[in-house]
Amino acid sequence: MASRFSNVDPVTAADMRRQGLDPHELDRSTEQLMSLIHGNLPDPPVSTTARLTAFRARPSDGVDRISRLSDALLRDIVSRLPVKDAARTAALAARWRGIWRSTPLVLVDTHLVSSARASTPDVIAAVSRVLAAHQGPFRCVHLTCSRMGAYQAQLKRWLRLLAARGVQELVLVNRPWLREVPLPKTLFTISTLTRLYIGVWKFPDAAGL
Amino acid sequence: MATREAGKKMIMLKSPDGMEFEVEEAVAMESQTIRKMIEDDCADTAILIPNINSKILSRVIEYCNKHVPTTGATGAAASDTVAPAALAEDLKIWDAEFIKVNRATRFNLIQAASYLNIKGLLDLTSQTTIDTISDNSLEEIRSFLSTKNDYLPEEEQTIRRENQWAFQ
Repeated sequence: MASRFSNVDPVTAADMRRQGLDPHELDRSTEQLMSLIHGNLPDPPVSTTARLTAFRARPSDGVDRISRLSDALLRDIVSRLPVKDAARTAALAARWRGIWRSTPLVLVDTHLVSSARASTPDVIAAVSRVLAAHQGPFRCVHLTCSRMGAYQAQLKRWLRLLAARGVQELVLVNRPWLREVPLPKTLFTISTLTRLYIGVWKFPDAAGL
Repeated sequence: MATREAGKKMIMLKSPDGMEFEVEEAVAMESQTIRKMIEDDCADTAILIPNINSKILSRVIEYCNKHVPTTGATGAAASDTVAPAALAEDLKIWDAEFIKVNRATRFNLIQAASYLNIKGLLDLTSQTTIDTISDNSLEEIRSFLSTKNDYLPEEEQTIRRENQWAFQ
């Protein structure tokens, strides 16, 4: 039964049925709301689709020209890659490991999963690993595809890391269900933010700040 | 070079191999590095561009010539009648042709774009490089880039484990 809903959880569905309501309708309207939200988020600076392919077919001439570029230029190149491709460059050669760890991070969680049907535990695990392993700076972080209700401890850790590494652009959207996951207060301590989008959270009590 | 039009200030750019290029100031100022030199009055008649040979410098100038905004310039009637979207599309096609060069030239262009601080050219050249990296196996990327793997086998395993999520 649970798998028939994209958003509504089994407890809520059962509750609604007891009251003579149709959980499918709530599920559909929630799906509409989510696609409206996702459709109005800013585009991340890195895309997985826009690629020129002029060089694919050219055979290499055997000269390692890319390694002659400075660290700053290599970081600039790696920061343009979707995060999975970027992280893979760490295994190319020893110098690339340091490049990856210090590349301005552009982390878009939907780029972490190959299929559209993202499994929340996989995404949570991958996001946690990237945030922990990367020394910053965090240029842009989009976390929009996970149900954070069951992962509030991780969410707190993430926000602490985002604050510590000085994230600049942050897009943080929860997926129901739950609809009222409390947003950690750490959010207010991120002094480096230049752009912030938040959605489907319970706003933290700011009185004690 | 195009004929000199009245009222347009020209700048001389010199490459280390002794070639001289006379370009419009507006074209040269597509480079933020050169713009700063001009604005700081460090450029009298000729600017020596170190580390960029004449072959690469001429390609860079070709790029800047194409990308310099035409608004306000005399004889740029085309931009008044052509829609901006069509103009942008035209530039994209031109860029795709421009960047069909061999690897050596491309990496030289990356370095030149970085030194001269020409964002559009750096975007174009870097983007083309990352297309080589995306969606390929490590061995393919190493072969494309001719990058030597200097990891010991066990070191590479450790790095792969560290970033295992990226290899799934």
